[in-house]
Amino acid sequence: MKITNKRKSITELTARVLVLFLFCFLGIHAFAQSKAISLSGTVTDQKGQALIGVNVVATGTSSGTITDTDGKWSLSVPTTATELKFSYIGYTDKAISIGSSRVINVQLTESTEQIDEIVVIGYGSVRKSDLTGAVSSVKADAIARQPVANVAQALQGLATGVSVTSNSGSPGGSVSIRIRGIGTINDANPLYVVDGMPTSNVSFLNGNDIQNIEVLKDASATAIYGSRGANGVILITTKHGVIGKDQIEFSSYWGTQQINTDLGLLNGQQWYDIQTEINKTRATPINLANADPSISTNWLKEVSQKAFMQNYGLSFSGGDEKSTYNLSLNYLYQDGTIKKTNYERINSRFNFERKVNKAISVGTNFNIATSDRDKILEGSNTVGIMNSAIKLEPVVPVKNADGTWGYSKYIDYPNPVAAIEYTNSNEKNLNFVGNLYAKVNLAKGLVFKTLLGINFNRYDSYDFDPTYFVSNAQQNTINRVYRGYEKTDNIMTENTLNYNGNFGKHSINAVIGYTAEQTRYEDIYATKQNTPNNTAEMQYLSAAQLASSATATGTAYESALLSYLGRVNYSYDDRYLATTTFRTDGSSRFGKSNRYGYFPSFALAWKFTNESFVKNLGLDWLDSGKVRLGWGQVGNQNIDNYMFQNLLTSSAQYAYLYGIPETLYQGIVAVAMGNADVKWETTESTNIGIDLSLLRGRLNFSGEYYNKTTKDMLLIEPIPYFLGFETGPMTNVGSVQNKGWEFSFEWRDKIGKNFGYNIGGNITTIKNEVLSLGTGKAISGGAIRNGNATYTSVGNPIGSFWGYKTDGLINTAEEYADVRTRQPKADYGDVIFVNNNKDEVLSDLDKTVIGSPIPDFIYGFNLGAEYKGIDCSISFEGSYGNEIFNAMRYFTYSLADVTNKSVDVLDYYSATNTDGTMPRLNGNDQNDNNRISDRYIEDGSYLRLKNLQIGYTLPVSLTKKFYVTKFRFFVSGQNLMTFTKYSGADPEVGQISSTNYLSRGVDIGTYPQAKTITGGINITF
Amino acid sequence: MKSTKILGIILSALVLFGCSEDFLNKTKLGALTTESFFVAEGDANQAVIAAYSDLKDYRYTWTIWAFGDVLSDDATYSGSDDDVQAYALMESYNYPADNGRVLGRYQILYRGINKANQAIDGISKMDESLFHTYNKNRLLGEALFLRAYYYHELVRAYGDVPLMTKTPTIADKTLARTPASEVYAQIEKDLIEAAGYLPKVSEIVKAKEAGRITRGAANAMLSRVYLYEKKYVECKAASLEVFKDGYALMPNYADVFTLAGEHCSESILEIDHYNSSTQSAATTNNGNFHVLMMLPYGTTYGYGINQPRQSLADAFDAAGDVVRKEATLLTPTDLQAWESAADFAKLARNRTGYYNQKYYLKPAERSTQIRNNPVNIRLIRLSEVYLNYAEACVKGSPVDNTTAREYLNKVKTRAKIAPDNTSTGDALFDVIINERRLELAMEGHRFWDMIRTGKAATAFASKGTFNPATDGLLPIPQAEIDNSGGIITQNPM
Repeated sequence: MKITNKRKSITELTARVLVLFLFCFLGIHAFAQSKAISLSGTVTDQKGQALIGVNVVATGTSSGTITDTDGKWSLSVPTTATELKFSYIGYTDKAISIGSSRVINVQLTESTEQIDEIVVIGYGSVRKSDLTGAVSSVKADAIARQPVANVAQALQGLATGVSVTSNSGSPGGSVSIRIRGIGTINDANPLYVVDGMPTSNVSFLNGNDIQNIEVLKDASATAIYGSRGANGVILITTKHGVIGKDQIEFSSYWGTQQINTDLGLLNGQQWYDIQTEINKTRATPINLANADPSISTNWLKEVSQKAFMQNYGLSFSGGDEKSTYNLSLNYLYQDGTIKKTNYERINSRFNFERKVNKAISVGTNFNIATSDRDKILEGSNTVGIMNSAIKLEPVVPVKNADGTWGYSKYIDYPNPVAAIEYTNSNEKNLNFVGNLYAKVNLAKGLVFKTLLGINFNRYDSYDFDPTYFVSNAQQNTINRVYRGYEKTDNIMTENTLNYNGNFGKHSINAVIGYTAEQTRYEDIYATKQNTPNNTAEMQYLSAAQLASSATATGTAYESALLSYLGRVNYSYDDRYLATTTFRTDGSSRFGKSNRYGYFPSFALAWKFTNESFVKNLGLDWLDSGKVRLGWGQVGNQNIDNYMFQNLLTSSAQYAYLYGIPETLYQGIVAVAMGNADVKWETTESTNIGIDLSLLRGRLNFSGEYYNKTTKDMLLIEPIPYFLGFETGPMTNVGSVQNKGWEFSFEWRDKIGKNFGYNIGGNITTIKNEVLSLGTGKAISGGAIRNGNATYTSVGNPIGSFWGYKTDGLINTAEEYADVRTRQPKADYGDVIFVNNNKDEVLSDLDKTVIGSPIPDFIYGFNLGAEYKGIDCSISFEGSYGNEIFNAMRYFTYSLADVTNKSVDVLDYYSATNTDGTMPRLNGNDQNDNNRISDRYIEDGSYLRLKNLQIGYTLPVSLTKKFYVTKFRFFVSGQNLMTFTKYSGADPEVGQISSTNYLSRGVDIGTYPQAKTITGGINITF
Repeated sequence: MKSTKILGIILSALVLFGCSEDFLNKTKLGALTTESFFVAEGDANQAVIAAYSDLKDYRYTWTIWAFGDVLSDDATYSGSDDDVQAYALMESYNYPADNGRVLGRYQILYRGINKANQAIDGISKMDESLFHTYNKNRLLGEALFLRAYYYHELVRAYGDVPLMTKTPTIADKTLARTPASEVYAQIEKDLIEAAGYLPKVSEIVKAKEAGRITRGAANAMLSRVYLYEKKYVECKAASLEVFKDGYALMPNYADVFTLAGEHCSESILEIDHYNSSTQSAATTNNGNFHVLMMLPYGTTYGYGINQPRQSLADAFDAAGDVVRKEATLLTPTDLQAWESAADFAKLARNRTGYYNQKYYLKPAERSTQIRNNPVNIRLIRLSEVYLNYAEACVKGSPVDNTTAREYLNKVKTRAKIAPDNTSTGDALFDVIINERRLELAMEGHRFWDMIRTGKAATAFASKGTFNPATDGLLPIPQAEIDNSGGIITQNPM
């Protein structure tokens, strides 16, 4: 009953909005068209060349058009019109009075000043020069030119302060974005807002649809998103039609992708020789007669493939005085570089806006995307495909001569080629994001906007384990169908009142608003065994026959967010700027006592170059300059629902049997402690910045210092066992600090008439430190084969690598005598583990920080050039000072076991090689040389040629006969070169899984990023 | 025009600030919260079932034999070389505080106590009128018994332990250890109250409810607990209450431990197991995990753990006890008769010559799911109560040798060995204790009985030096000391 009431409240709200609409339609007089006159003319540049696509608008009316390919235009304007305005990007606007002449020819002059861009800041926009917070902007072309499925991936290296890491190179794999460090051990992903719709994921977006991306970084910018602002906000605006510029655009590319399969592992003979040596010390030697050293299987090569990808996009856009539209359709298909992985996506977008009358505009932005993804097992440190491909012995053939599968005779690790063969793992997604909105001009400068949005997601998963036999350890005798369905429905409404006004030297831009949002989630998972055969047609539950094997599970939740927000931007004399933001969020995720959070921010900026005393200095190299100072508090509500409640469980574990014969009865009980007082994580941040424009707009520079501290970080409080609960309550006790500097610059100039070029770069430093974990103990994470790779403890970065330090190998009698006191079973050639705490014994207490996945700095730089029709762009991105925990070394650096090894192992210590860099071969390793230590740690720094593209646009004079305004073809390379010392497949190592936040930088066999080469065309009609 | 605009502002303000607080009240879907529970009698029943569920958790039942048998002179851990190594310190009475079994028992018993507390707190507050199918007091009685049982399993292993008699809140995390005497007082109180609420075994329909706790179980447990407290008068009274409930020894000792012998006339409490095909994970299975562990290594599956030692065989022989030796000790000769020739040929790792027959299933009876064998664990049998009573008679005052021998001889006679009609006093006490060893062999009693009666150092000498001052209690799990920030202290080690 209660639920229905709640449902009603949002329906009621919708009804109220609709009533308001109706009122506005009825109450405001329709716009009346009066008599018109016809005008025409030509627009040229200083050299008399025709300018194509110049905007021509009759000032104060809705009449407008653009020039054609000959620079010609014609327009009918109301008789009341007195002036025409001509505008063109890169040229100074020109206004011409309408006289008696009906033909108006205009010459535009190139502008020397940079255009003051409009920057979207959430519930409004400001001129870039009026920004007071820390915001990075990324333009459409930088995104569109990258052949990547996920827009988030394309952001890599492009925006200051934004660290982008793919968790997997698998097509359709997840991406982690961290803005200005990592503020919490919980979910630190930013909030995405696409055309005003908050969402946690942007995999549904087509890169070609994006107009621009703004990244809000400091609290003064993100406070308008309150409880979701702590991890930063990425605002994405999609393309809208341009008035008077109807066009059809077709674009396509095709390409191939591949990965590096040479990881420097042993060949068959080398493996055989090493094992022969290890056998000498094994208690029970392995029978090497079972291995054929002439077989040298490169498992990585066997599981990988040269993969194809293709993309086709078609869009229609344009508009007239009353309406603009942008319709697009895009198809993407990408095979993975590991066999049996691929990703297919179709998306369709519909953006439309129409002026209903003088006062009201209505519009919509809708996106529908469907995707279909085949995937393989990743993230398993025992049977993951990449993991197996690295560790399986090279002497195992993929298949034996008789056609049966090869398998290890010594250890129960799977044959990864066979494992792929028997993998049937598919997921399909249907996503529907869209909104309807209306804007009403209530009075001069006062605009009311109301928006109703939905974000519906349907996710289906299909898995099938066929019956097969590879070996005793890798077989399945009864097949099983798995089927899952997840449904997320999000509905929201947003109502804002914007005001813009100028009073002499005072200027105000303000917004107040109210938003409400509700999400409902439900899933169903079912499995059943024993279908008649393994064919694709039988991989459905209805074919499975073993009734007793059927299982079904499901979960559901609802959450809601109710918010009030406000912001005032005040400017005095275009010299002093002040912004204050306030948001209060009510969230259903918290108990009544802590339901509302309050998130304020303040920012000041000073455009010192507008001061007369600066102007009087006559610094003609300095165009404009601004310093900024901001402070604010924002929240993170990326936590589970219902943590304030004591939840009961009826899971199978809590059942009991009685009766003869026994019958199972299900019990219900609370096994986790709730905490009614759980509340938001709060991040307080301070930002100081400077923006400079120099040398007549050719050089732009920004520098910032940030310091953000997360307080009340949510941790599961450890509880003693005698309380009898399995998990402790979530409590707000932790604190984390991130601070650093950001610098970015861009130089843009022309040499001569035809050669234009630009150079840009950015760098961000990050210092991350856990300040407190309350009464809680350090948190282990990143589970690997022999323990945990990461350890989050006070005074160290989040998710630091933790283990023993080593000090080479025992080589001298002194070392032997000294080390044996702490490592009693050590011998010459064994690893010396550092007795870090200087006590008598070597124990867990000697473990310490041995590396950090968080880089000292991340950077990116790009070059672009244009000469006549040729364009070229190059972008690099990199990371410096981070380490990678190469967990594969548990196998490849082991000097005792049978798995494949790194060639480094060949330099093992022995009586004849006392300078060996690797420990002695020892099948009975009593010293535990393989324990977690800095032997697993590698420098994770890298510099990557992210994208290189060369294009050529045919001259318009050639193409216009075919009604083509632009015909461009290009070749492009993604990840062409990577400079790194890391020995693994790829230095871009994300998390083991998208929600395993403390496993960053731990490589248990990461699906590597592909090197992609594509070619394609863009045609505009 | 102007007025419409003003109206527009008012309307938009209405929309802006018009949502109700109710919008943010989202309760959990598809799961109950404590606030919405204990409103119907079915809730009370399910809360009690949950409190039972920890009884069958393999991490607790593992310690029934891994402590009760293996730490005594009757058995050794055995299994693979790794298993032997891993348990060597335990068996030589140098208990490591980080031993997994030491933690597992402690952790699971407290989980059971928490569930029993939740049930007691919840049911107590429910109105009697809500109950039609179930009986409120009976449910309370079961929960009280379970709490007492779990506490006794804790206190005899760890000594002083924190006493929680209500659903804990986070504020309780600073609780320290409660003296064992207070824990015992609570156990007595709970069992006495439970006995008053519970039905007799004759009052329940076994087909539907065998395995649920009865009045007899509560009194039998009281009888056991009083021996630990050396309260012999009370022990006798409680035992006599058990005898009123119509239990009877089975004529044939070996039948008690067959599948057909589950819930037989002498069975007072068992942990039920069955062969389920869907629930096979270690914590969600409802079969007996320990059959897998104790089956001889080389059979269908089996680790060959918990092997009886020669000294137990000798004890049977010394008493001329053929019946119980045959029913308790599984030998290669038995296996040759029962296992397939192929499996028999594969038998290995036989370290003592004997396996535990009380957990043995013949190949045809075995589940295909390794953790799901259908053997019930016998927790309390009538013969234990007979021997409790006999012990109380001989140790209590005045000493009643005649009655002690009468009950001792009921057990002996059933085992087809000669009755003892002559022993008195301390000698009789020793006979009774030896009888416990033979009657209850490999059922998890020996280790505790020897400590309780002060005979451990002598009895266990063949395994290692048992120092009664430090080895009579297991260590508190190190993880608990760490979790409590040192408030929970360690036993003398």
